[in-house]
Amino acid sequence: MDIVPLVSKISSCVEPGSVDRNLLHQHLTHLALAVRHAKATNVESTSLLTHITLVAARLISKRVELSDRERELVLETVCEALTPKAHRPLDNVHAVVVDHIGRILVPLFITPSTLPEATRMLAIGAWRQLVKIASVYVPEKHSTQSRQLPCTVSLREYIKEFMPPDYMSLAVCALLDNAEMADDQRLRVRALETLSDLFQKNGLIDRTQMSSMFPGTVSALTRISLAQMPANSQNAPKKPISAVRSQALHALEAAILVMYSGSHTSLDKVHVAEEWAQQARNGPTSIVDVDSAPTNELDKLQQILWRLASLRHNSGTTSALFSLFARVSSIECASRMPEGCVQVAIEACLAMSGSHPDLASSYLLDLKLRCAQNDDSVGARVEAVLEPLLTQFERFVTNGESRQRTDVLCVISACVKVLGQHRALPLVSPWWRSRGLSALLTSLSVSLPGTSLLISEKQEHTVLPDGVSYVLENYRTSELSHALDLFVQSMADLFTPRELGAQLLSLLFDSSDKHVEVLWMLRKVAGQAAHEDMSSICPSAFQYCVDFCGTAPDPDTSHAVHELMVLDVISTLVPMIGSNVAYYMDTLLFPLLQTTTSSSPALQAQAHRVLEILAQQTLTSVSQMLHDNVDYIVEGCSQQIRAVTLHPRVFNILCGAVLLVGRDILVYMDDVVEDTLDVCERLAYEDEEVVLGALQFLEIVTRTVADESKMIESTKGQAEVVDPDPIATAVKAMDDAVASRMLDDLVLTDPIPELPTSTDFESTDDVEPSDTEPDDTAPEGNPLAIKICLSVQSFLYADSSAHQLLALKTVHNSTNALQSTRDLLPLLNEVWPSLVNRLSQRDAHYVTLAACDVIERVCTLGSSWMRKRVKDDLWPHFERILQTSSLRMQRSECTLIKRVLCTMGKVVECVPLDEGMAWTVCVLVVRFFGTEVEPELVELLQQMTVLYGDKVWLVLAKLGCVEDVQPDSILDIGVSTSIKPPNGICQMLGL
Amino acid sequence: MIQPDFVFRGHQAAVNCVHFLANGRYLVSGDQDGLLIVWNMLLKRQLVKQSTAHTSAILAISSVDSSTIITQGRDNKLNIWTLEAHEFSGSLNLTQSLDIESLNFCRFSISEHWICGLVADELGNMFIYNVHTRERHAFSVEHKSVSRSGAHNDQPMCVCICANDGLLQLTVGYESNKLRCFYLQVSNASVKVTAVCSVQTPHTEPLLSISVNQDAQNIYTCAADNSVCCFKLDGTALVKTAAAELSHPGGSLIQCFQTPQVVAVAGWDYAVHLYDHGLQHLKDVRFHRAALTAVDVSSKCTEPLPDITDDLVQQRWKMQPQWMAVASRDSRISLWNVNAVLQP
Repeated sequence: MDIVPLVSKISSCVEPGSVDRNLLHQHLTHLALAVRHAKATNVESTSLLTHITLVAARLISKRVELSDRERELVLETVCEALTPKAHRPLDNVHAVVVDHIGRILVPLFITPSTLPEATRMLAIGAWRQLVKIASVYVPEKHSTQSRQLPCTVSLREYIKEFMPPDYMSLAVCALLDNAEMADDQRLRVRALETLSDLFQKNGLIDRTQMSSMFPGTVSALTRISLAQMPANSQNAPKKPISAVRSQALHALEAAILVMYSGSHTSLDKVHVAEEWAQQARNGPTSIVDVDSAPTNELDKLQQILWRLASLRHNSGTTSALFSLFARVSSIECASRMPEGCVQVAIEACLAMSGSHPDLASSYLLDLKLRCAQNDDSVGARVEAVLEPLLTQFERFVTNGESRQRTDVLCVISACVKVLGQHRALPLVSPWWRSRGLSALLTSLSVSLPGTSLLISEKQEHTVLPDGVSYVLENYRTSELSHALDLFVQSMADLFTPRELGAQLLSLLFDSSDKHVEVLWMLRKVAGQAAHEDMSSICPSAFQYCVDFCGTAPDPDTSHAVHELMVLDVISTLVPMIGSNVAYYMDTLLFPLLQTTTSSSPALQAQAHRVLEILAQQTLTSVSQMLHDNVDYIVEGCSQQIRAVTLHPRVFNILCGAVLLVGRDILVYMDDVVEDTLDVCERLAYEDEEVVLGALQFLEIVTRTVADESKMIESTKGQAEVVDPDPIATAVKAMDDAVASRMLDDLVLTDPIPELPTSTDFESTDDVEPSDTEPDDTAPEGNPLAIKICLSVQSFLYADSSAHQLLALKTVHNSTNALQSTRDLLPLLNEVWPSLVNRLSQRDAHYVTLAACDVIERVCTLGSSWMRKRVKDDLWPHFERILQTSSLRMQRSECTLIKRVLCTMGKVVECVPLDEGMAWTVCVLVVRFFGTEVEPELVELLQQMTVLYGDKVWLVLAKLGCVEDVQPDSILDIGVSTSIKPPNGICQMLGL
Repeated sequence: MIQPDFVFRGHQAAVNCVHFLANGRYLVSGDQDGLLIVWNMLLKRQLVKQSTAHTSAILAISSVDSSTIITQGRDNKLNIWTLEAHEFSGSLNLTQSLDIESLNFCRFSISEHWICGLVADELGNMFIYNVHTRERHAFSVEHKSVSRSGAHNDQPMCVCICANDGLLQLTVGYESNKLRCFYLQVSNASVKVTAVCSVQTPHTEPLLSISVNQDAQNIYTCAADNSVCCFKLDGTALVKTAAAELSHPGGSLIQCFQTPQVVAVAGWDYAVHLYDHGLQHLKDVRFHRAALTAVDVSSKCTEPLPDITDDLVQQRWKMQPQWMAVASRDSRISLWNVNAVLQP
């Protein structure tokens, strides 16, 4: 869409007397779109700007009754046209543009105005773009006496030469009014931003112009910053948002700079404070003619700065305020500024050293250096600030006001840094030794948790990155933490970490009640110091921590914070100790491991952290480190088991250690197992929880022993592989040999394998197990497993089903561990009565099921040796269960019957049954045909059919399942004929 | 009840003997299977594990200096080892091996560089051996006791050698409960044995162990009965000066220590019985689950470790307590801070 015809159309629309509103609105919308499109497609901007300017000026200056929206459209279009591309200022703009736009925009935002604030905001926005123009093309027709036309001049020169003399003053006033009076906070920010640009960009306002408007400007900006109203105003002050205050301070800073700085440096308000600092340190400094400035004006400024300093506690304005004061303090004139003003600058910098400590120190140092060229007034002033702070340090740091503490700590730190060691030490050292350290420690007590309530709280997330930080964050603001860090660092710099560490260490070993605080400081000093600086105090400090860990009471007591700090110090010192940490492993590792099971998540996290650091130091993983030091862990556990009532959680650690290390730990376990068995016996009826832990541990030990036995068996099996089919192997070997000869036509060198003789097969025949004494030639069983099993079997009678289950598991593991040893059958003989007894009691359902599992395993291992025991002890229980069970079983009963049938199947497979018993089994179990347990029943009958097929056949024949056999032809065998086995049952059983 | 500070668990069989070495920096232990372990007391870790130090049980261990270890086995061997110890590792090298009588469980004795023990070939014959010069002499301490069945050779059960006024004083305890003292004068070619005195002790069971205090004046004995006795060498007579009664019979080993001044008896009743030098009972220490076999107390470490430059390790060393090591047939060695144990 072409812009020029549109402009013509708009012009024709607004001819006096013939305003076509609809058409005008439509054309304006099209124009806005066209401008946007033109900008996007790089249409030549100067001519575009000229056209837009002309039409805009015509629309607005002709006083056409534009609606608010139409006016906004015009302003938006102008603003769009004036906005430079790629942040490059518009160059060589035709004078008519500046002239027309400049003249029409300012009146739009002058207050009081009837225009809406939205319109004023757009006007200010457009004007802000206007003052960014770099150069103006002045055609011949412009009237001037001093220039040869046409020419190109800067915007500043153009305004000075061709615009009305009070043009800029008017604009500044209008902007200040909007900044101060507008309701819309965005408009206020926009006005202040524009004002800052005006003072900073292109030097549009020079010092001469500024001098006339400086008092008013400063007053207005100060009022805005402090949310005050002009003296003559009746309205309540409009509370500014932080952005308004901040922008007002920036504008003030720019104004002061124009006023007192000799040359205009390109200061962009978007510059971060660090850049300012850099400029102040490295940049060429300008000389300010302070002498020419009226003294009373500077006094006023000093007062204003004092007042503004109160804004340092407003987080939104701190940065801007700091920038302002830093700028004031860094300018060359500081040395010649009135004393009060320098003092303000110093104190402002010190006050803001909390948020920008490094910059504050840098500025102060910079200021000091400048002043030192003439005298030492800055140093003296800093001392003057420091002395009362030290005198009243206790009052400042021990009250409950966190912000005040933060300020005082930061100011002292900054002062010490500025003064340097030679000057600060005489001032600070006596105070620090007599009162300072003590007062600081007292103040730390205020900001440390006095009780362990917080760190005992359960958190949703179990792993915390840093226990100490977690705790302190709840008691200190981040600003206070930072200030404390800064303060400790400055003291360490002043006294050297070695000396400060020694001071702290002496406190640690006396009877002071401030150990937690001392540890916190020690950790800070150590964390910031080089390793060699801490070498003299590191051993003693570490020894204290290790001793504390070794004797720490239950972490849930009020010592938890102390322990937390100790762990923190350990984690800091371990890297300094290096490989020598091996000398502390015996006393350190177990307490750490124990702390990882603490109920406090903070302590847990910290202990994990220390373990990780220890592992890093030993160049291994945590699990490997624990594995390598398992003897220390076992010893720690052993000591606690001997006082188990004080350490009920010790078995958790022990279980973890066994699971982690596996069978290698068994060599250390003899006495630990003995002690555990003692605990079980002693506390069986007193402390169910401890006994449960002990039984769990014993169960894991037997499982480990069983795994070891299994591994040994499998190794043995690999060494002596029995060929399952020797004939096939021999034939295949012969075939291979023959084929090889045929293919290669080689002379036979290897003998053809001989076919196995009949004696070779005898070894693979099943040997009927002996029903007599155990095999004395078998190896001895693991004494640990035997000992545990014999002791734990008493818990099969325990009241607690959890104890019963663990005892059953232990017996199960032990029988597995003793498999193929001479000790198996004696052990089975011992535990069998207790085991079978579990079927007779009214135990929990799952205990009976578990007992069936163990019985099944025992019968498998005992084989024919179990024959009499099965008949006399086991079968009566199974018979009772099968007989008393109804056919309409509940879920639990159904599970039990299924389990019994399965166990019976296994027993039938492994243990030869008495003929009478086999018959009873057949007769009894068939009643479960047609119930939910039928699949298990069929499996049992399949097992029975192998050895007792005649009995199964007879029972099924009586039930009419055998073809050609009439049930009535068979005598009554005690089987109900109403039982209906599934069709084809005989085929299923292979009968 | 007081508990040990640490327990060494490296042995899988009954531990028969323990001995501190190098001012308590190392502990050497030997067990029923012939396993010899050197423990680093600073790390509480095995430094060296010599699994076949002897082909049978190790009965006794002692040392000449901080690197020369002497072990006696039931394989009738007396082995002299050189310990090469580094901070975290070490090795044992067998330098000499002597034949010795061990079948009657009589332990050898050592004083400075002189070793004294029974000779394997004939009853009552002994030898004395200089570890440095390898000079060896034989002599006899044969004694015949008379009982209802007639006179017969009295079996030496325990020996103890010590320096006394430039002479070597040998004390021998016999199966008949006789205690005899001899002075040994060793010259280039031979050893002159002078019987000084003898006494029939009040023990009712065979003597099992003798210990002599530093000035060689007080001789302490324990036996398979429940008595502990102290005898004073008074010129040419042995006079019983004190006695104590154990709660249960049987003391495997009696040891007299100077610092602290205690006499310790490793009891068959699983307890260490501690007495002062006048056999006044101080304390019983009970922890083990089987009969005790040996006890030793480390000397107080005052000198810094010679081969360690690190301050931290030196400090750790300086803070080491004076240890009492107790060996037991339950295959464990318990370590006790002896000063803590003796605190009332």
